[in-house]
Amino acid sequence: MNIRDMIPFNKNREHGMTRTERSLPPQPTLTPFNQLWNDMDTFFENFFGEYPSSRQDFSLTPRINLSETDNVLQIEAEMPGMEEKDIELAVDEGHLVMRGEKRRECNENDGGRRRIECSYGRFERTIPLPDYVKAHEAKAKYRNGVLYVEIPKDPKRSEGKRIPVTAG
Amino acid sequence: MNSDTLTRREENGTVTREEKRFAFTPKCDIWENQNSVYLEVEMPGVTDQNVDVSLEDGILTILGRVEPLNLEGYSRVYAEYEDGNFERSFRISDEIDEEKISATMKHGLLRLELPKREAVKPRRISVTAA
Repeated sequence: MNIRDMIPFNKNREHGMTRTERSLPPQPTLTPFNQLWNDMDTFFENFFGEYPSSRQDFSLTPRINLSETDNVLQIEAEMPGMEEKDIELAVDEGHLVMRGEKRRECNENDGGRRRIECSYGRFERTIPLPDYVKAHEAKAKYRNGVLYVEIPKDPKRSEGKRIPVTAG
Repeated sequence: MNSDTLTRREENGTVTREEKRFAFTPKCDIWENQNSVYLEVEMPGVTDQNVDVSLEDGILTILGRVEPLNLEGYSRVYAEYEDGNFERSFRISDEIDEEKISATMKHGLLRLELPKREAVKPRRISVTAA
């Protein structure tokens, strides 16, 4: 067997072509893999319409940003349209757990949604914490649809311990 | 993301253009009943002071400015989203009574009510014996 017959996606191959392949117009820039990619893109575009991208995802899991100063670690989590009472925060064995339920305010009998982009329901996200923070002293506030959690750092532990390396 | 410049309407009616920067497209739910069409727009980080809803030539434009919470002295160590403004426009149909559009902002969620004109609301016509 010729080695080129064993390459599955060789667009220039002349042997072993099926009838379908031969009847297709030549598309020199499209490998079968690219074609599949394009087909998938078209499928999703048709399905979701002009879906606003880049700040979108379907998941209800809140997205987070982490910032820090010398003394504090701050976690911001986007969760618009919630009530404080529906947000639950817990610290558990070096993890920060955010749970919540986002409720839909409209009545289903109102005639139904024309367009739905927001997600609703319960979510949970667990964030591992570094061991130099005092997790039990965390403070949280919910403001303008963003949850801010501030956790003080433990200056003693953040220094770490230097381990000397000796010749041996 | 839109790369359009953001326009800002001042009290005296002049429109100033802010520096060119990106605006995110907020997520939006739309539903309706017999009396109104409702929009719910998710704009986390936007206060009621920083949201601007305008209507011009049948285009409803929503603009939300995000002012990052006092991040002075903080350095960002991990990010899943960027701070940025929100902007989105909708074409409003003739059946909406533009004078009666109302908006409320709570917890980063803008809720708009667009009441329909009386003329397009379904009505029952009573039939009397002649």
